[in-house]
Amino acid sequence: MRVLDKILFLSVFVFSASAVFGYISPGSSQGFVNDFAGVIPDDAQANMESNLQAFEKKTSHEIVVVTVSSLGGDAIEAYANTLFREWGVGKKSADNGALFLIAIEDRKMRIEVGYGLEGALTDLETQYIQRETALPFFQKGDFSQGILRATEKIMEAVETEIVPVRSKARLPFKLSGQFIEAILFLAIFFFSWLMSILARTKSWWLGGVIGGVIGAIIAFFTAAWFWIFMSAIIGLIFDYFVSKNYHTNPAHPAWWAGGAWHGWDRWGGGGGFGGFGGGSSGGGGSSSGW
Amino acid sequence: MNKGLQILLGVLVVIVLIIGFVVSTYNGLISMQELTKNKWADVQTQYQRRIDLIDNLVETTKGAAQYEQSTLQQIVDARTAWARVSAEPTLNAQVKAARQADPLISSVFSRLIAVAESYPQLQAVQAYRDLMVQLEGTENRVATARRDFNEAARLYNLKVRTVPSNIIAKIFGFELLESFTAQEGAEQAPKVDFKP
Repeated sequence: MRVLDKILFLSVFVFSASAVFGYISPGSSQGFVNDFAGVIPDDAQANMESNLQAFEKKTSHEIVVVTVSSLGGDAIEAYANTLFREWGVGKKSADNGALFLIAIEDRKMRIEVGYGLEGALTDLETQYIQRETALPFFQKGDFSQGILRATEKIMEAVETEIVPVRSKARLPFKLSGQFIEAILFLAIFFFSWLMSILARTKSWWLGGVIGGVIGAIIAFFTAAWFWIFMSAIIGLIFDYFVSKNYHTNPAHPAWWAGGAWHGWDRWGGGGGFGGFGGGSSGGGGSSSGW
Repeated sequence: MNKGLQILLGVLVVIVLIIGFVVSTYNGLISMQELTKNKWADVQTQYQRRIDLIDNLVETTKGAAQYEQSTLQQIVDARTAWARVSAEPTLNAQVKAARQADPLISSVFSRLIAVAESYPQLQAVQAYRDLMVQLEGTENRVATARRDFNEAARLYNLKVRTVPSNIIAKIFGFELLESFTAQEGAEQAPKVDFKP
């Protein structure tokens, strides 16, 4: 495709509110190497996967490979950018991700680069890697070698790029679905236990104190001091109504004043690849074909 | 337990809830506004990069290609039109100015590339080929930045217009945002000929 045509074609995207026509997600990520088109033999894939995993541990950069059979009529630039963002390649605060997308039937490839790596992995560099490293192998149909060599080149290029990975409130554990369910269960249990205690006290300042403490904890994480105030007030009012109800009817407290145990039997399934860091791309990189 | 105190407490609850609503809606509007400013800054960065590449393109091809005076004048006009954008005081004024500058910039590009392509010996020059790669990359970034800005503006406008946040928006004077869409008339799909 002549460059002029390609540039004009790209500028058409500018006019459309959403250039994501026809995008169908290839699925969720299975690792750093996602061979949806099935062109990489298992041992080669395992080898690449461990390389990229080790690289991520060492540098925190997330380099992802995706092969798809077809782009479904989409342009590879739009497809790559959408996929990049859907999976969140790269760490959120650093945007240090790169996506190497190969569309087998369309005979097109693209390396999409996140903001954080654009300095080391320039558009030109991505074009050289495709042209000189991947292309010769792809033309012979050897995707496995081509992708392997290309990822090595990508890693070489960004190895020296050190990006600051900032995080606001560091949680020492990963927020998986199971974990959130456990917290929810605990919170509900704690809440109904709390209600039973508060109901039995005659005074209603305890609710305000607890509300204030909870508010302080929330404020610590979100710097929303306003919420300490709100929490305290809500705690006060809550405790007032709860205490009042108990004392007018000590023998038959309202249904919500109990401390009963509520079973929670579903813990949900887990496992599988944890996903990427939530990074984004601004459209950097380049495409080519074979 | 006297009725008066009960009513007072009920009123207090309502007041607290209203305050909570006002504060969180206002803050939500503010942060969306900041996001759109952020995205607009990205658009400006990418456009600047694009314009700088124009100069590069002229430099690289100067040896081989001959540019008419009218073309060079077009370049100056496009650059001036874009410089005017950041001079505007409000975001909406900047978007409007950008909408006017954009077709000028695009046509300069088309012109320059068309001229360069009529000199086949340029295709062999590495610097020229490299420049084409950079140009494509920049066009893609520009398209992405515009999409992101328009999406942020859309979400912000939704919040400004839908109930109940529109009440808060009205009280505190949040205005609707223009989106960076094509100028009417400039929106003709170019005839793309996909010769390999």
